[in-house]
Parts: sequence; structure tokens; C-alpha cells
Amino acid sequence: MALAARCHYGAPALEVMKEIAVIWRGELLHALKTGRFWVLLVLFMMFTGMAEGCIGLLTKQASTSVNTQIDSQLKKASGDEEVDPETREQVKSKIKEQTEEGKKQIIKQLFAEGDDALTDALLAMPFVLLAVFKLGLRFLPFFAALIGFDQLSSEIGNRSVRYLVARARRSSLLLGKYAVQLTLLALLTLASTLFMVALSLAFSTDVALTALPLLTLKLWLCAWVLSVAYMGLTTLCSSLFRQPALSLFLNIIFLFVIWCLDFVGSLFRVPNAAVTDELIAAARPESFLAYLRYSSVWHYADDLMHPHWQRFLPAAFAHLGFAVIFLGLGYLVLRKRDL
Amino acid sequence: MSVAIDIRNVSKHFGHKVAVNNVSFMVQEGHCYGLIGPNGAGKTTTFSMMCGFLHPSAGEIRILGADPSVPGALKGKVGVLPQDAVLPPNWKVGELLAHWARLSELSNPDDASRQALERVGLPETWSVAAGAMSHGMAKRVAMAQAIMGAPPVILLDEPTAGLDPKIAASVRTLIRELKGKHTVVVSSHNLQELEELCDATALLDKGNLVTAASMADMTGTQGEFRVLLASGEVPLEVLRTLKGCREARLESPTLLVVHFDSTVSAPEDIITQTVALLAQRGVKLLGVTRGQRLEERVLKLT
Repeated sequence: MALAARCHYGAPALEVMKEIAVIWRGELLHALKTGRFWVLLVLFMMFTGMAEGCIGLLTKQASTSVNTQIDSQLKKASGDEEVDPETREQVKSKIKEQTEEGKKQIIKQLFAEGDDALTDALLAMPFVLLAVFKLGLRFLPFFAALIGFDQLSSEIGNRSVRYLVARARRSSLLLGKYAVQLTLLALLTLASTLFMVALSLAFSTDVALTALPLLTLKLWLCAWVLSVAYMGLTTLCSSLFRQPALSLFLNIIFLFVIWCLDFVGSLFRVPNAAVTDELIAAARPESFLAYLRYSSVWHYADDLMHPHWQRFLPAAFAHLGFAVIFLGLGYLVLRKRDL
Repeated sequence: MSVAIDIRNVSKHFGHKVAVNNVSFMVQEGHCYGLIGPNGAGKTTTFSMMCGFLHPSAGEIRILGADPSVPGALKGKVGVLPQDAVLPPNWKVGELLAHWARLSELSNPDDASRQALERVGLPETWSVAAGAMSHGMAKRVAMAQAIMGAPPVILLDEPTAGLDPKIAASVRTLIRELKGKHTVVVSSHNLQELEELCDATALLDKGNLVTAASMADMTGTQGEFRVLLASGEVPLEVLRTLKGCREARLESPTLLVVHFDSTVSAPEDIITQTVALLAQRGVKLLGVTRGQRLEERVLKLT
């Protein structure tokens, strides 16, 4: 029998890695050439720009109102007389202190769940950047769903996946597609993080330029680790249906369930746990429902920005763990299903 | 000659619906094998199980000794033309074929892709988007990916469906070229095409295997011939006395059917004797054909 080409096979694991690499390279290059990636990039930038613009303007207005407050307090204190510079400075620093304390409390309650170390770390960031980045992180799971919902379902739907499964293992197909989407999301988050940091310079006066590269890297890594888990969920949802719209719908439902699990869990205190000095946490009733939060990947997101590795690493591994679970389930579905 | 494809007691259920029921047949290496049957017979389901797209509910399939449902088992062994799989529309044809060639681990992906496109007569489509091609062109590009890298087994589901006669003929020529060098399985409704191309065939109906036999046995070329008559009286009793003749009858006033035993008398001998006898008795003939058309056989069996 005449055979022009024969394939040589190494160890299966190596074969799988090679297949994943080929799928990743081929489909990533193709994706970068298509309009979809660039449209998403523009959308990311628009979202970042609009969010940062709004929050930046709000903080500028707040800053202006603080200055107005300083002037009015000085006028009140002095009547019609000229205020000496020393008094002016005293009033200024007092109001600034109060503002900083207010800001600290906002960050502590909104972004740090009452953790002092995390609060201090976040305080070092420009407030506009922190607020927009945190907002971006909250929406990142939806972006992951929008980017990757049809990665498998569209190809299963129109059966073009058959051309691939004749050449590659289903596991390689799943992981290759996942790697492509994750890379695209990493590129998009890198671009938007850079844009975010650049814009924050326009709205903040107290930015240490030397700290910016490391801060940018930290923020991007944080977004990337978060993407690892949520893109895994998107890949799982995409392997379940032939219709991309159904995959997207289920993905959003899952995101809602994940958020609900964390929300319900956070309403309660873990039984017999040490009571913190945080008032809100201490006021929560004890219940086993508090354990629900640990089943939600959402619960671990805040610690990705924690300055202590004892908190950061478990959060990062939790995200990786959830990614492995989602991808494992996705593989089971794809392995068993008819294509 | 060894067995390239072995299908044993294979069934496939979709819920309560039985699409394929206990089907068994074998395909010899180097043969062109036809899968035939009416709509809903289970051809595409059987074909899809051979390709590993569908998992059998019961039974065993072996392609060159490999189980298609095992991940990676068919890699490099099988080229597939699925019936209704869409080519990814946003890819350019050359880029797409080269990507698939890399995935098949062909040594020179670009060259392999160009060669495959040339074989199907579409070298100019290299830079054309797959979604911008006509049905016929897309079908041929899909055919190109199936033969790319010369896999030992090539599975073609409806390779000429929806093609104009000229392109269909070129596809048939290509399949004829593949015969002997590759094991080719063709699933088709076009019985004339299969009769022309295939060495053997399996006939499916309502999910069941009706028969699996060589094309010669299916069409009876080793035991039957037909004479188209213009005029004259056929001496049936005399014909029945010819050596090896089993039966001679008039299927219609203008069609004589003769069944014979090819182990007693070679086809060429008994056909020549029959024609000579008829000519001697003043019977005028319009033509002689061996066996019966596959279509007639299938219509009788299903």
C-alpha cells in the first residue's frame, strides 16, 4: 500500500502537548487576524475609558468640594480677617486627614473585606485606578463569557469540529481552544490595564511613576489568574451545547449562581469562628450556610490583590483548582458526546 | 489481502430511536467499498461511527486495528469527508488546510495542502475565504483535506452530492485513482456511481444490514446476463439446454434474462453461445449486459 506520509507517535502526553500547541498557534494567529479581536479590544478600551472617565470626574469633583470646604471653614473661623498660613495649613491637613480616613474606610469596606493589610496595599494605588480595576474585575467573568462562549459550541453546531477530531484528540481540542481564548483575554486585559494605568495619571496627582510598572504587572497578573478560572467555566459551557446562544445563556446563569453562593455565604458567620473586630462581620449570624462561600470561585477574587503571599497563593490556587474542575467536566462532556 | 475495516454487531441508539441495529461487515485493504441504502437507512450514522464522531451503543469497530472511539486512535490513519460539516467560514483555504496538515503532523504542511488542492483541481482557491466558496468548491476543498497526506483509509460521505455533472465526474475520477492505493469507503445515494466505483458494498435499510457482498455478487455479473431484443421469437427451451444455463426467461417481450452457473460455463462462453443461437434463429438484438443494475437489485431488496 502506497503511503506518502506516515505519522510517528511519541508518548501520548507529548502528543497531546504538541496538538494543543498546534491548535493554539494556528487558531491564535487566525483570531488575531479577524475583526472580532479588534472589536473586542475597542470595547474593552471604551469600557475602561468610560469607567475611568466617570470615576475620575467624580473624584475630581469630590476633591474640588473638599477644597471649597477648606475655604469655607477658613472663612468661618476667621470672619473677615486674613487667615495666617499656619492656621490655613492646620485646617488643610485636618480635612485631608479626615478625607484620607474616609477613603480608607471606603476601601476597607468595599474592596478589602475589612482586611487591614490589604487595605494598606490598596491605599498605595491611585483611587481612580483601584476603583476602575476592581470594577473591571467584577465584569471580567462576563467578558470571558462574551469572548469564548462559541469556542466549541459553534464548531459542534456546524460540525466543522469533525475536521479537527479526525486529526486531534478531544482533550487537545478542548485545551487548545481554552488556551487560545485565555491568551486573547490576557492580551485584552493587558491592553486595558495599560490604558487604565495611563488614564489614571491624568486623574491622580499622587502617583509614584517608579512604582507603576510593577503595579501594572501585578494588576494584569491578578486579572489573568481570575481569567484562568472563568475561561474554564466558559469552555465547559461551550462544550455542552450545539447552539452558542445557549452556551452563553448557561454561562451567565452559572456566573449568577457563583455570585449567589458567595453572597449567601457572606451573609453568615462560620460557626465557632473567632469574631473579628470588624462590626459588620461580627454582626452576622452564625450558620453552616457560611461555608457556601468556599464553593464559589468569586469568594477568592479579593485575595488575588493581597500583599501577603499566605493569602495570595491560596487564592491563586483556588482559581487554578476551579479551572481544573471546569475543564475536567468540559472534557468529560466532550469525550462522551456525539459530534 | 487483509481487513482494513471490521465492523461487528454495531448498534446506535438515539434515545428510543434505533438508528443502526446490529450491523456487521468487513472492508478489505485497498478496496473501494460502498455504503448504500435509502434515506434514514443508517449510512451516515454508520459512517460517523467509523470516523469516531459518534460512539456506538453496542458492538465493535476497528479501523486498521484501532478503535475509533479511543482518543487519537485514528490520527494519521484516516482521511474523512463528512457529509454536512461546514468549513470554518472565516479561514482562507490555504491557511485552513495548512493548519489541519500541521495537526496531522505532515512533514511539509504547505506543500501537502497545495498538492491536495491541485488534486481536486482548485489550486487557485489558496487565498479564498472558505465561506466565500460555492457548494461545489467547498465540497472539493473538503475532499482535498480528506486525501491530504495520503492516509491509508479514506472515508467519503456523499462525495458527489449537490455537484454538477462535470465536477461529479472529476470527483469520481479522483476516487478511481485512490482505489488500490487506499482503502476507500463511499457512502452515497447514487447507485450508478457506486456500481461503477466499488468493489464491494453493504446495503442498509431502516438501520439493518440487508446484505454485504462484492459488487459482482450484488449485481449478479457472475451468474446472470440480459439480452435486449428488437424482434424475433426466442427459443427458450433450447437456451435452457446450453451448458451451465440454469434458467432462461423473458422478463418482458423485449428483455431476455439468462441465469447461469459460472463454475460450469465461463460468462464469455455462455454469452457467446446464446448470442450465436439467437442470431441463428433470426432474432434481432439491441444489446447485451452482464448482471442487473445495482439500482434494480437495491429496489428488490429494500
